[in-house]
Amino acid sequence: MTKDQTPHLVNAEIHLGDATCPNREERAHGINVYYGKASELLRDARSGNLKQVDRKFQQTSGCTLNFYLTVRVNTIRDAAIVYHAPVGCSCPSLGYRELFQHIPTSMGMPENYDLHWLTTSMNEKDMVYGSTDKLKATVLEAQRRYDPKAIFILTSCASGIIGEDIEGAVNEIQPQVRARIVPIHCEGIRSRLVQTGYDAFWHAVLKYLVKKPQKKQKDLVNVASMLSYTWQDRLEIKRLLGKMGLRVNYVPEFASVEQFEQLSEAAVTAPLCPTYTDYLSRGLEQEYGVPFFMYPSPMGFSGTDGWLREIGKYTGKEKEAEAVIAEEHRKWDPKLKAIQEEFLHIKPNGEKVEVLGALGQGRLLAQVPYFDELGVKSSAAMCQDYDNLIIDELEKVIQQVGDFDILVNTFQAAEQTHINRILDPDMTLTCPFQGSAYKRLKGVTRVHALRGDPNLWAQQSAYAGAVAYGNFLLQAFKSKSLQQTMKEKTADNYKAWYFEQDNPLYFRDNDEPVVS
Amino acid sequence: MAKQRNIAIYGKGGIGKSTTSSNISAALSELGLKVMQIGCDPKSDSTNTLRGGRFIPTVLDSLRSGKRVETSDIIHEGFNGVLCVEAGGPEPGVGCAGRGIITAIELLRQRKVFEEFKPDVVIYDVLGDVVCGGFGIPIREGVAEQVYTVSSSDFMAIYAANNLFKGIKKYANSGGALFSGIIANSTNLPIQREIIEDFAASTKTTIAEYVPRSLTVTKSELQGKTVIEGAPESEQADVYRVLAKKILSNQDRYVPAPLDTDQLKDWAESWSDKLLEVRDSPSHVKCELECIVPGAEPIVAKPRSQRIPVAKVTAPRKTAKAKG
Amino acid sequence: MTEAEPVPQDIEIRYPEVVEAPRWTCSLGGAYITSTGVYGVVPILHAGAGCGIAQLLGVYYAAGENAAGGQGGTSTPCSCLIEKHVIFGGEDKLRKLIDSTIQLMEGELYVVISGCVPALIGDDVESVVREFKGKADVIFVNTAGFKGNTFDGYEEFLGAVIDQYLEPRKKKKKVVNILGVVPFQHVFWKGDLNIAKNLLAKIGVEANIIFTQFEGVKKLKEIPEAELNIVLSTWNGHKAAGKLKEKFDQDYLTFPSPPIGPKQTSEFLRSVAKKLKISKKEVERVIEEEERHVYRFTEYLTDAIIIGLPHPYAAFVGDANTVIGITKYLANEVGYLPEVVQITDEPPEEAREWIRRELTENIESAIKPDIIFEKDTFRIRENLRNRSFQVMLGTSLEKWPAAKEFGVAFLSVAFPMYDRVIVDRNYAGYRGGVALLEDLLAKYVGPL
Repeated sequence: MTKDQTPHLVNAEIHLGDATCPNREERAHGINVYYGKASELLRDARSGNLKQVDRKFQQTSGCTLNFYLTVRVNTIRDAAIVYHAPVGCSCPSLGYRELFQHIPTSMGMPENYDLHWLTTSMNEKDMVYGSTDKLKATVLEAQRRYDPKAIFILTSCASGIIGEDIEGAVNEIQPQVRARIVPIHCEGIRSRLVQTGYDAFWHAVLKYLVKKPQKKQKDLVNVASMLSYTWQDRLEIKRLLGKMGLRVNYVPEFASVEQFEQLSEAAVTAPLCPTYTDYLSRGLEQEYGVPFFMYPSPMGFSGTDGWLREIGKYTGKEKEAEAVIAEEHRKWDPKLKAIQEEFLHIKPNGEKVEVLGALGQGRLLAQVPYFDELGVKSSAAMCQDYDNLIIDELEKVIQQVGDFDILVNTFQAAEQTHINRILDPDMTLTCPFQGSAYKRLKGVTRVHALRGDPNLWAQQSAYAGAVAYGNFLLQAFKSKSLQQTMKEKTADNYKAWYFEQDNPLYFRDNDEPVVS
Repeated sequence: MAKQRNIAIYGKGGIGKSTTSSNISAALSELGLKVMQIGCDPKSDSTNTLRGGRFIPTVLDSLRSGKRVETSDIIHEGFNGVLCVEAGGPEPGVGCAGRGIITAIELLRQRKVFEEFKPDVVIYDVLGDVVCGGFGIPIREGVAEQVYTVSSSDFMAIYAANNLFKGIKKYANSGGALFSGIIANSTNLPIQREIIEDFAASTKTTIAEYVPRSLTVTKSELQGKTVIEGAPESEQADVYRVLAKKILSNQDRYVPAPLDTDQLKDWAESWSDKLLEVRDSPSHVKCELECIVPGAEPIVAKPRSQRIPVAKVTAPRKTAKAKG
Repeated sequence: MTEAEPVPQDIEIRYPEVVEAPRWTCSLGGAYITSTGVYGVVPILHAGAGCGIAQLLGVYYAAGENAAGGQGGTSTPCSCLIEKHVIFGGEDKLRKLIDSTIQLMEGELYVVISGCVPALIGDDVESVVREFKGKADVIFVNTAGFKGNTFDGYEEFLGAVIDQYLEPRKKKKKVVNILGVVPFQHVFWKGDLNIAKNLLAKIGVEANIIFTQFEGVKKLKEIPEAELNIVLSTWNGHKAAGKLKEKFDQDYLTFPSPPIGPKQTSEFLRSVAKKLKISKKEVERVIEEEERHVYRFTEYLTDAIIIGLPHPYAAFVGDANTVIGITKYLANEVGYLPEVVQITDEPPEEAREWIRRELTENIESAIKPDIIFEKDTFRIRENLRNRSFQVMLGTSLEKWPAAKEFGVAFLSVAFPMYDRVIVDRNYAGYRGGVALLEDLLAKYVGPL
């Protein structure tokens, strides 16, 4: 990741004096509507010509609050959340008492833990009269009930539109509350890009939780993970870094508040997804001098090699890194080879299998080269959003694997179904909830597993994960009965004429003035 | 039985719309009609002069109490049987007043208030700074059919009226209320009338009535009354009666032609120049003074050469007390 | 104020709506999920981009890990409102959205559901919807997240259909509508409704269950044809029934819940038959046949019941509809001793008398349960402490406390239910009780 971005591309400064971060559109010209060649996207981005347009037809795709802070923040073990919102915004948190319960204690899960959240259930009266009094009372109640180390306040469209003075309320009530109150500005309307939610979360973490380092822990590596990585990934990363004599500060899922406080003491911040971790990394460097790198991610063999080497560099463990890399390669190279062999035999004449993935930015950068490693082709990829934080990395990927088609959209099921039909890849990876894009005649499988999945086959990170997912993909080629049967026996959502159009962005709104 | 008339009266804060609305309501009630006046301003004081200067509990207050809202909580009888309702709203700086108006009007509908009380005329007295969707509710289909606006010749009032015209135009095609006239307030001077008439001509609107500024109004309001109640024999009361009758008989409604930002700016500038000319003319000053002190003579600024030197200061002068 | 100040403990009085993990979603959510229960309806959300997905994660998945179907989840058209719409209005986007949805997505009825954002900024959804008259059938539900919860949304959806879409029709004898079961919020809705329909068919009554019916929009239009509305709840669906009475002069008959097990089901059939004047002989014949079958099959369970854990003290947590039926069945036919029943869906005062009566007078056990109306998940757990219950039926929110804190066998039977997968599975009707016992006994029995 470039740290010295041309100013017009990325607004890299972090102002912790502000209540919250700028949204991704402002920070890095983020967009979520594009269809064309990746090289074209890159060219437009570099020249500052990348424009966000509107859609006439759009489908629900998540907002800054609900993708995915409702679940993510809720997993912080000794904290509580207060949603200052109408009651519907927080319903994704209803799974909170079951999160991670399937992970046995033998894998490091504590026997007993509790997660907590409250909602202020904003109602009609609150809309008219405002409700910071209620918010304050709710924070006090959270303190009384749970005695947490931190109380996160998550805001909503409703609280934002009526202009609730969250900071004022927090300032008033903090002296009465032992827990650290952490307001996160994640109003759904504040951005088109769900990534803004991540930035808002990290901003709040940096501003309210991270403490001035007491000492420097030279053997501590910060790793920020997404919910789409599993417990086994966590364990594997811990194991690998452990072999290098390093410890991992794994945030935010299932972390403790203390872990956040210590983020400033680490030797380096390493990514799983670069754009997800960007704000945190920059903030830690700006405020506490914690260095960071953004590329590569530990996905695939060469990606993991690079990742371990970078970490080695920042912790003075270059030799240890090489040792681990060598050992892992000895163990896993044969398995990778076997997988590569199998892939070659799927299609006649050793033709490469075509895989289309629905991915976030991080996976786009990591998975495309990884697929190349497996011997699988990605002539096209879908990406939830694009912003200039990954501009250099995207260029590297194009250099490595060649140009490819890219469709940028956030879960737009119609467009994804469309591109699946016209490109007709051998295998399509669906993120969960892709509507009925899975109904097709060729291969279908998932992009990632549930976070609470304790199984080894659900891994994706590092060498073990590269092999596990490779096998997972191969499995998916062995049967098509689910998708074929459903395609044959159930109705299509969309009318046939749509699939005769060239462009999945048929409903792009060309009348609306273009916004940056 | 004639169909219920639903009329919205908009006006910039402070321009006199509540005064005008209350006096119209009172005048209509004198004609034997059942009138309901609904104040749509967070200040909640629209109907005060129909209620002896007292505030009534608002619709939103009742909502806030959490108890089920009964019509007796929100409909209060005022002068001569006029039914008074106040929508209510939040304190300054919090909440959302626009949403408040939406909620209040929805509540009135749900309680079937119009079916229960069967008013002949409903007057919505609405804050003229139509800053968001909520304040446009009375213009929408199913609420008011005709809109009047109270405006003086001051630029701010005209600006607000022009904004209102934009709002009406927007809803015109979806069954919204249409415009029926400007009620020109405080237009004592010829120049003020000219300004408003010109504005009306430019926006293809009409003047419903001229209502002069009058101390009678001030006096009555201080007693918590409309002019109709407090000074029923006065000239001003008759002005309101005429206005009320006009409103009653006027079923004309049309789409106004608001000026865009540049046009409005140009229009205002042209009048600003004219105003400077007029201000310094003696006849103008006499007129202005007449309004405040009937019978007084204007003190016209003498040319420098004729001025009395200020040097001598003897005993303090007694200032004449203005009568009336 | 210093840290030592005592924290006030009266939030239940000052702000009763503040709650940990309430078992519902908002009013928009309620209308939205209900609309996807009608096949042929395409919901269109005029709201922020997160509203639809939130329901996928927090309602569909919570209703037994259900996918939201071809019009639900990420397939739901949405205006994805952002800051610029808040400031400048969202009607234009909505217009384009409705237009493009009609072009792209098959549907017989398009239902625009508005959320918090347009409600606050005052978008005139009604007039935008009206522009499409003649082009397609489009109605709108004028709601918002802050206006209520799922149950309100259910009534709003039905209310919108009744007000904007239904025309009077000639009434048909022995045709009824079933109301009061809220799709997804009542986790066993598909099974409950279809069982009710099949049962009534046995006594010659045609039931329009509205949801999960093929030609769903046609069935909506047929609502006014019913001679009677049957409401399977102490409070859900009552508003809709009232509206139908007012508009189409349809009588309605209410029950405390969908019937669970033979005794409740026989009572149900007898009541309906009486109201519709169906031959007693016919009904009794059906009843006798069904009861004979199910009671013989229940005998397969008696060893497990008696050796496993006879007459257990039991705790129940869930919404009124679910809990009433299950508690009564287990108490009146299986010898369970209900110790505490917590009703989580906050029924209105008028319904609570009835609920209390059902759970005391209609319970055949010396132990009458503590009946607590509680929606706060934290307090629900507190209410379970210091008691004697040996088995618990609740929601997946109680699952792990049941295991780790109370050490009792546990079955999820109400919303939210993330730990089971429910399609047809249900506990309604004659055989529903046996199905319940199959699931419940397996939790603590074996090997015998």
